[in-house]
Amino acid sequence: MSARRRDFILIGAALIVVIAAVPFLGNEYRTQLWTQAFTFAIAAVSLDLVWGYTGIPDLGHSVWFGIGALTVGLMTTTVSDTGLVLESGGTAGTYIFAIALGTVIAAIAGAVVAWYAFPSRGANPFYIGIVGLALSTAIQPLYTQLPGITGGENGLFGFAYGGLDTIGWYYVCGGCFVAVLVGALILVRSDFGLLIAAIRDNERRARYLGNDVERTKIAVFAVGAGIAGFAGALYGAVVGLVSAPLFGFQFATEMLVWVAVGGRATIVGPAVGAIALSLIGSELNRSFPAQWNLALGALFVAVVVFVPDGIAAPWAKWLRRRIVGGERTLVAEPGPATAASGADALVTMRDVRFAYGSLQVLRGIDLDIERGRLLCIVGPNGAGKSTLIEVLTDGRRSIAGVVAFNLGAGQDHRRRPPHEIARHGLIRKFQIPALFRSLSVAEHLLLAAHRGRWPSPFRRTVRIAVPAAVLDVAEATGLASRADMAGGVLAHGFKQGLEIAMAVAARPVLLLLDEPTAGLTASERAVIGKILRTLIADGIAIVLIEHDFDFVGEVADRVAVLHDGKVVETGSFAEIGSSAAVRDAYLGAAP
Amino acid sequence: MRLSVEKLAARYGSAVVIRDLSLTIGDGEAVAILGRNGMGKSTLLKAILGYVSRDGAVTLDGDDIASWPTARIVRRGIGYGPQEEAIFGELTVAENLAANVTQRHPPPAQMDAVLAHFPVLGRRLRQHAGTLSGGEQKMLVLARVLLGRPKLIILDEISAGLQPAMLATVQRALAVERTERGTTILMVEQNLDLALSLADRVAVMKLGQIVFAAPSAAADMRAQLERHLAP
Repeated sequence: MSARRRDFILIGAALIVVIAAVPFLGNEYRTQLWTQAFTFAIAAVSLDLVWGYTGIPDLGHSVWFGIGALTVGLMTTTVSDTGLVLESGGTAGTYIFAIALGTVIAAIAGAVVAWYAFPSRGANPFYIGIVGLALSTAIQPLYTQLPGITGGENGLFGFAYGGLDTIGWYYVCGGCFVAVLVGALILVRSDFGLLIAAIRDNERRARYLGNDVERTKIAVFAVGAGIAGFAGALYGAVVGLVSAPLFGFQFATEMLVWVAVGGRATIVGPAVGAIALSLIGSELNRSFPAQWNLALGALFVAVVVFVPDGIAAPWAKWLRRRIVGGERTLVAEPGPATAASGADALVTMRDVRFAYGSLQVLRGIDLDIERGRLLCIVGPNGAGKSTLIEVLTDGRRSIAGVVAFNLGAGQDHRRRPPHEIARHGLIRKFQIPALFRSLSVAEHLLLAAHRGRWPSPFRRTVRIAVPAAVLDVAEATGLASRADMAGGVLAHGFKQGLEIAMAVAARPVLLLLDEPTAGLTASERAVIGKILRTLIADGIAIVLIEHDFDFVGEVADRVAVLHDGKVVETGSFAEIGSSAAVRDAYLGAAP
Repeated sequence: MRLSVEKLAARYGSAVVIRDLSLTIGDGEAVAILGRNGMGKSTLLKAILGYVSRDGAVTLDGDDIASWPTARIVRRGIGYGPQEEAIFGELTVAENLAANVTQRHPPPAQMDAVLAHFPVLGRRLRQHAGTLSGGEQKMLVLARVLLGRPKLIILDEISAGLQPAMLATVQRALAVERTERGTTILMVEQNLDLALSLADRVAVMKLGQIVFAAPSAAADMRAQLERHLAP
């Protein structure tokens, strides 16, 4: 048994012993408070998945909790037209079914909201925040307007399941809490957890590595809403009360406070925050209701200012290292970097035109990109070089002219989103390094190697198999000894090296490199040049945007000169270098 | 402007990036810092400007600025061209050019003189800077620095991503700035040609320290530098 597994079992056993002991330490009232706190903790964990890990600020998370509770209430009560509860209760089966239904309805509602909010509004996280805020604010008056269904002002009450006593309920909720906690920890340490952290750090980059960002975010949001709905349904069945405030913004804010105070993106932190704050809250709320809310607000501000990571964060991080860990390492995979086959002509561009608003950037590009050849694009700053890569890798850009792909199944370029194009093997390296702040170097390469394959929500890949060329790039640029450093703290040159390594790790059919050597030293350039030539020998196509003419001379099979949105010359390096037009337009006087 | 750094140390969290580094740049002198990746070049510039927490003495014209906030240091007359996040993408080119604290309203003649170096910027004054190409953004950074009429120019790899002809322009613009106004220059640079042609002195950094420094005019300096920069 590994040390990690042993620690996991020890800590898990300790947790279960503590939870099991609580009913014997306090009175019945305290036990009920703990039971309730477990349902809050489940909701806090679900919010941490959505907000902490994926970076979606759900300001209306209470809505999903409320939906769960209301579902149980509706299925177990009969209400008069004026909102009086006439009778309530049901069999165990009714309650189990109601809890399951509440979970599913909340998940579906969350998916619908996310499906509406994400694709249409792009990357702006505030949009979903405002939607959540609007929902949690709008549902309250709606709720009180429908007394015949929801019980109106008083809500539905008295429908707690009577078949279990206080201690029985305590263990059911405690068990559910432990299950959700463990499930969430497994999820965030898995490869899927890596993907959602990447999306939080840099959505655009994740997209160009082949990941369907919108679908992933909708999935996370739906799962988060579903778990919150489950927590709410449990709460309903235990406490037997649902009313408008359960949907409201104040409760949603309280959930945000639990997560922030406990520690965002730690799973354990928000759970501790929810349990601690709700227990302290119920003690203090009875004697000092006004002061408690004030204290909670002050605590929130103090945590944001003084411990922005959250109170329980250092402890939760230690725990995670102890039991979750599993450092990811790189291993070379035998064989060529890509399975190259098929026709030579990969991309054909004919009279391609493109404008940013009124600014015409591409004015009729004719270009052929062929397998097994390295095409260098040179040209003055602002000639449209990076834009050329942009329109190739995002089919939704509205261009005039024809882009014909010859990439296996991916014949059609028009209207294809970047992640689909990337999955067909068109991989780009961005001009300005665009990395994931919190992911390690090795994790960047894992994400690239996945190239958009839906990652496992259970399994954690610790040995990352990458083409040998990736390790060569890592070795040449000094990344190999920094495999566990986070993307956010790398020096600029390492970021460039990692960009190149990621592009190779994605096993491209066509590799588009935008100024890969800017910020690299001469000796590093030379090694990168050699590696690019071996990739060409393996049969992939490379398009390289480059200003360093010496480097162009070393690596290029063919050179295209781009000027003012048009290809003005193509030919071998020797031909281009001796062209007077090129010298005047581009090289100028030697410095 | 005279810049002096003594026994400088800087760290990110627990990672020490600069250790015991001393460097003096005389008034009107130009110094180029070279070095491989991750050796602390950019961090040195940021430490001087107070972007990262540091220990040791930093003086400008004899004034100890070690405890000053960045804004106050810059107002003393520094023009800084950072490597990353150097422009305001949502602002227009003209607005970017106006975002200087050292000289808020440059006279039109001076504006024309700077834009004469970079005609492409003059044609795009009302365009959002974020839509400029990578190389054009570099030009914008340098143009903004020059417009501020700084006494000390600090540049972080200004040549990366510039077309060869533009390298000559950059060199010319900075040379003019030096001869006409006696501006002090501290630059981190990967391009040996540019570094050698502009700087009076070159220094090589390794693991957070200066391991080699010499006048750039010395014989076979290029070969010496290449030896120091080799892995």
